[in-house]
Amino acid sequence: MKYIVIDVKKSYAIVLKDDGKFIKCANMHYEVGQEVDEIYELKEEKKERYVFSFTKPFIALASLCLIMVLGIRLMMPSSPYAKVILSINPDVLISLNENNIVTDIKGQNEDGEKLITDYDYEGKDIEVVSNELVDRAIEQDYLHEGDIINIYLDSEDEDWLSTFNREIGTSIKTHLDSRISVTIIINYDDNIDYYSSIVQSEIPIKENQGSNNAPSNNNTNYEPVDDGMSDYENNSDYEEDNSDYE
Amino acid sequence: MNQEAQLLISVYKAKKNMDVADELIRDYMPFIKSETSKILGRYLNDSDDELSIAMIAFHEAILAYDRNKGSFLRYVSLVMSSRIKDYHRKEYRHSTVISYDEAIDDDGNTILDTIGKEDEHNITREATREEIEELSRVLKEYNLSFLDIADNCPKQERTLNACASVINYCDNKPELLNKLIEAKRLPISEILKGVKVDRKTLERHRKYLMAMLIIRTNGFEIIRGHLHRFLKIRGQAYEVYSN
Repeated sequence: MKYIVIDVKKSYAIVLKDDGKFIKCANMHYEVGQEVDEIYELKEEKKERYVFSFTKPFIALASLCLIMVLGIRLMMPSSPYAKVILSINPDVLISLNENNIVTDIKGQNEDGEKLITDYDYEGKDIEVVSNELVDRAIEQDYLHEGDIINIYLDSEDEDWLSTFNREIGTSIKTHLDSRISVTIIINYDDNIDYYSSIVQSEIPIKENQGSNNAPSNNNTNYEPVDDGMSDYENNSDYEEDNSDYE
Repeated sequence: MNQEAQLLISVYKAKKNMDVADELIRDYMPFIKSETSKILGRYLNDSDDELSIAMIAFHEAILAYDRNKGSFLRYVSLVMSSRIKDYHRKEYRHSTVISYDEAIDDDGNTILDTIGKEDEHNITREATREEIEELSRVLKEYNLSFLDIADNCPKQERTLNACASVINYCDNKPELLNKLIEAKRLPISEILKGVKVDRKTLERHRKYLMAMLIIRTNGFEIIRGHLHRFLKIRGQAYEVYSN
């Protein structure tokens, strides 16, 4: 039979499937050691996990939160989808496809809806959309000098997580360099832990947006800043590694 | 602090840990029973499957809930109702009345034939349970629970295949397994020398891999047997892919 019951609690059980997966499911009066053919698996729809609401208490300033969720429908491996939640205090849910093209955006609250009113996302790349929404946030006075941008990545595709977090962080940082100084925090939640890398915009030009008084020692290093806040035990993330699997 | 606020705090703690959620659910059993009863339109027994479904739905509600969804208890009721309806749809698809004399497998065995085999199943189940208890005990030495491993288990097919490949590699290397046992840590550098897998995969799924490797050591024959196909098929799939 397909599943062996490994652990039982009052409200759930853990089974070991013959394909190597440990799965959390409903406890249908199981006994440990029992074999079953069918289970009612716990559905962890990651797109529903609004992890930004944990961190809100810790963010004193208005902050811009981008939660990017790439979910793979296992039944149709050729058509994965992704979701992004953009939240300042506005919350916006953005859907992406496997090519990182935005397929849908939805305001999750009133401010979120205001932010995206009349915004055309059709066919645009997520980096373009993120940058444009960040611009809108500045124009509409949601995002200011010294604020924090929180980006949450959530995906079953670990390869996507590990490459995209750097792409998006770099993209937004570059977009904001010499315009406004904000901190960009990128979180991705594989299980229930967080991985954070921080990309800090380095050019604190406030008054003169678009002018050319950037200091001559303009930092063009696009690597994430290693300031010890990664959750990884060793920062192998920052090693130069060009194998297929990074 | 009012009750709603208290509850929300508990919900947010429960999001992080399924055992904390389990406790919360125990506390809310009266609520769950009464809601499920309403949904079914009848009294509930403890043995009703729908109760099990309601409880797992409660877990899902905990994970999915945020303030934008309104009152938590209302949200839970919606999720439970939806899940139970789903369950009924699936159950009714499967349920048919069959006679004892109807053949149920390719060998022409009937239900009557299988009744006697229950004893066999029970013996196997008992032996399996003992192995699992032993596994649980060993895992405690590594500071691991089954929930830790379930949480750490890869969800993606490709990652599972990579893990199978790692386990296959370690299989004939007692020195690696010994390293694991002595240091109580995954020998990542050694594994990377022999398997073409991303270091991050090993780090991210450390707990899962440790558990699977422990299963490869002595005393877990039944569980190993259960996983035999997994290792062969997935390991091969990964090796083909990575070449």
